Amino acid sequence: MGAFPVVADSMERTSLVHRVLAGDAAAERELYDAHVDRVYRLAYRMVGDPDQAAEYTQDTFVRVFDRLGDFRGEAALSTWVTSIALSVVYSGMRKVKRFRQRETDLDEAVAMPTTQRQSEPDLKKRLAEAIDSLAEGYRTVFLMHDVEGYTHDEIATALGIQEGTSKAQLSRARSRLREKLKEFEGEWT
Amino acid sequence: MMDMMDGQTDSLPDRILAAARELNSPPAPPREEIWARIQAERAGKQAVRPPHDVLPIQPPGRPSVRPSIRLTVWITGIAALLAVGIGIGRLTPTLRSGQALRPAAPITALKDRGKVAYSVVTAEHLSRVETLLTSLRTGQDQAPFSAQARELLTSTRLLLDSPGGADPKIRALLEDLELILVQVAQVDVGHGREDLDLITDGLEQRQVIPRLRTAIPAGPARQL
Repeated sequence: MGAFPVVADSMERTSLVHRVLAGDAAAERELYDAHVDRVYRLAYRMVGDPDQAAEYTQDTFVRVFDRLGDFRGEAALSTWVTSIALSVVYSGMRKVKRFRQRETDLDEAVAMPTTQRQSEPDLKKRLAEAIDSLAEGYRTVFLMHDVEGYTHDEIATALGIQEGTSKAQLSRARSRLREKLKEFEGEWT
Repeated sequence: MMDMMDGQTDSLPDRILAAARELNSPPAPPREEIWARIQAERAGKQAVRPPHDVLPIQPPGRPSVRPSIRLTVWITGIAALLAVGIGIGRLTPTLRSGQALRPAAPITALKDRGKVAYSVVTAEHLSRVETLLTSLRTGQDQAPFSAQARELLTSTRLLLDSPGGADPKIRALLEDLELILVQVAQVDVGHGREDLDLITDGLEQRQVIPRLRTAIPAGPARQL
């Protein structure tokens, strides 16, 4: 289970889905309220920008309502919603990346935001860089599992991969982070 | 390796995890604003949406379940060949310990056979991935792509975890392919053309197809 509770049980979930499909506006809002925090949190973790996170959350729910008829209940509704959210975020991030590649000069001119109000600014800066440098798959699994608390089962279902692959990617992500944060090793042992 | 991969034993120190959770800590979502935008977008879509009284046309040819079955057979074959390769590898030290009738030449031959088995399996796997990625670029119906990508992902993982996968070039290629296949596996039927276009852009940027073609030998059993 992730950081937020999902709709109570499968019966209730099925009933909610049926109500939405029947055109019940209150049920639509209920479904949205049940999942919006989780979707927004994940999007925000992935992109680190509130406007983009809101845009991806919006696109996710538009797709969710468009395709709810395809939901067969094979996975939890929250996992199905998460898989759509990830697809939207990946797609959006690739667009942004393409745009940024065209604007390389501008990117170089813009300094990385380094304002950290909390303690350990250097560790956090280095950690942020290390997480950003991870390959997309490793980064997603790390953020979902270690930061947002999703289980490997949820991650695997949402990403359409085997649970073992999720575990392997997390292990590699951690290993890369350890490598990149080696200089802090003495401080955390 | 499995211990390291259970998600617990290689966990990062609490201090690092706490710092990671503090980074980009999400604020409360602007619920009402997002909801209003969703409603507006859906209202706009419904105004231009065609009626749902026509079933989508199935592409001609074999039913989509067939490629999946064929791929399952391939994966089983790959797993079997890898098992043979690993078996040969395990057998080698036993022979070296003195029980072998003709130690020197057969041991080398067995080791070589293990490598050759891995190379053959890898080459065949890469060919299949190349076929999938090439079809992806040509932009046909995307329905079978996700299923095929999921199957190929499994065999990619098998090859990555195999003791024969030591060649850094092939390993790097397989790791890239793993990530691409994850993305393809996620593409939703009917709404995925845009996603597929972005994936193919990524393929071009990372030179994946040329690297694949370089890695696939011309002959069926040539060593990689």
